[in-house]
Amino acid sequence: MNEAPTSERAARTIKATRVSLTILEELKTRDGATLSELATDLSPSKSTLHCHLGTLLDEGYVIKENGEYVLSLKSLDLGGYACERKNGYKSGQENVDKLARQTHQPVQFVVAENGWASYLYQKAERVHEVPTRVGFTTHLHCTAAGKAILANLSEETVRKIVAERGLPAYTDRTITTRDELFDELESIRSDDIAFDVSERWDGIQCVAKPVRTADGEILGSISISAQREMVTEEQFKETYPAKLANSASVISINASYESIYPD
Amino acid sequence: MSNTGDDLTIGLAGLGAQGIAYAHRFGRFDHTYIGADFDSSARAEFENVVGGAVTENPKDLLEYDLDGLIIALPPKFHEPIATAALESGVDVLIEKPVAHTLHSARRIENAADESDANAMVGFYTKFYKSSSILLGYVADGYFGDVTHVDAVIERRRGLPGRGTWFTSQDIAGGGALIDIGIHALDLVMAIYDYSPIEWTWGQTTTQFGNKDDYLYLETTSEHKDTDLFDVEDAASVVIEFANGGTVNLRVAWATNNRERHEYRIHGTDRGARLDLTQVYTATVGREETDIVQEDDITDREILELYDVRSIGENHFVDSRVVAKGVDAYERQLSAFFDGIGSRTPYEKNSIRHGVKVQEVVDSIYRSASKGEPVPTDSFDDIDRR
Repeated sequence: MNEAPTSERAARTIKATRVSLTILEELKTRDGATLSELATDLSPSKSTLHCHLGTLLDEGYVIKENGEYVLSLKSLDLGGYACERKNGYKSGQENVDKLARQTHQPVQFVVAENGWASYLYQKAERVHEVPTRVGFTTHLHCTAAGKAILANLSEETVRKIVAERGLPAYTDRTITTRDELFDELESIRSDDIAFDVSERWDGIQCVAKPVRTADGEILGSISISAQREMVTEEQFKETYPAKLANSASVISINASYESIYPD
Repeated sequence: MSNTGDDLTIGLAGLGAQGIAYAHRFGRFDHTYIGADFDSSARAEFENVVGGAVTENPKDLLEYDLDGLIIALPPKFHEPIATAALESGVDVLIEKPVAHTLHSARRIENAADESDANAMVGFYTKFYKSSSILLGYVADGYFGDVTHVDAVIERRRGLPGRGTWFTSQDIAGGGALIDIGIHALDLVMAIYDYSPIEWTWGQTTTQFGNKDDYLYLETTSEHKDTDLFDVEDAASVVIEFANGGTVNLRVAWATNNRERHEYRIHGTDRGARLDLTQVYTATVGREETDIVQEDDITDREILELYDVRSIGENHFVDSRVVAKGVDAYERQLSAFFDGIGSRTPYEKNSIRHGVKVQEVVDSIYRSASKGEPVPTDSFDDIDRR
């Protein structure tokens, strides 16, 4: 079914489901909303939205707080499951925690899905200073973590991702051309380490190591991100890469043995 | 050789160097063997050596009607498979260390306690004939009371595969101490009959492991080009037993010196020296786990007894034990197979002793990180957690 052309796939989709999911997304973006607020931004009529919200309330995906509709924690259960089913998640989590403790910098374990970079797990001492959260999804070309993954995918796969998701600029340092991106991925492959300096967020630089299975298949990447003034050149270029390499190997070994544990 | 005739079904979980060392001896017993490893080349090697069936996930071994299971996986992965086997009443032989942490080792011990089945730990050093003779003399009171043991295991270039799980704290639980030092700890604790320990002191260092210019001399271990190395490659240890007896232990995966694997036993009446250096160096470039041909132990294992007498005149007597050599690995396997289904705990290398040794390893690491001796009281803290 994955091979179905977009138009054919669209023909088989259910509009109502799409409306429900759009409502959920909108409630996240707006940090809660009233029916009237939703009706101003979304195209379905107020009464249609009302029916959808009623269903979502009924199913427990939405709750009412102080007169506003907000997302419930039920999506956390789905999200928690979606995280845990990823190979390497548990060890990724342990290693992110350990690195965050050792470096006092924000650390993340990132995987690629559907051509996007998903932040599967992260740890930071000063949470409010970090622009991401678990589940945060962004383009793959604009962070060290994403580029570390792209560098381990086939050229064909990367071309497909670029064609589907584009190469938008987030800052004036973001890579925006395919040639530049392929050069960058080549250099990441040769050093087996990826860097970005203010390519996604101004003032934030990251270093990432790809995490591969024993068979060389890419699982994701582990990265340390830091505000530029909070990190020395030596930490960024030597200390952190060495620590990340250690963690990436440990996650890889653990991932190989994950299925030995009871279901 | 025992168990001739009774055909047991034996599983082997983990077909790396350690697992294959066991597999090489399987042909000497009339059993049926099934191997398991996630790595396809490891499975191919097992099929080549044993000719037995293979499966990918070690967990699947329990679907066969196993009589015994040998666990030679990386230490972190001992627990899930060992506890599952014990819960289904299958006797297990667990490669040393019991686990990567004391907590994990204790959970395996608990599973053994709650099961009819038994667990044995792979401290094969005790299965050398000379070790066994030495322990016999100790038990017989030949040395009087043992007051001190000086033990050393130092390899020249013996780092086991840098960048593999062997050099990962997370997977192996430590470095040289938990990998090879644990054999010496087990033997000295056996000499003191696993009696209570007053305190331990340890210092751990990393001199060679994280260096790019480490020379790969005389080693065939697999070295991967990664930076996975966060464990010690040497340790110094002092132990005081509650009876006042002491131990000095020095362990190193690599030294700029000659290889040594030696124990000096000081008793109130007599003393002894056990030298197992040749067991390793005679197979330099190969592991101790390689098959040892039967030869006189005086060629490879040296056990000397020191006495003082006053017959005619006062004089010293240095005597040397002569006995037919054995393959320690084969003897360990034989002891494991013999005990299968007996429902009585293994006398040698029981899980209880394995966990006691692991308690000491844990205390040495705690002492090394604190920089001071650790009293035995703290063992109980962990015990109750």
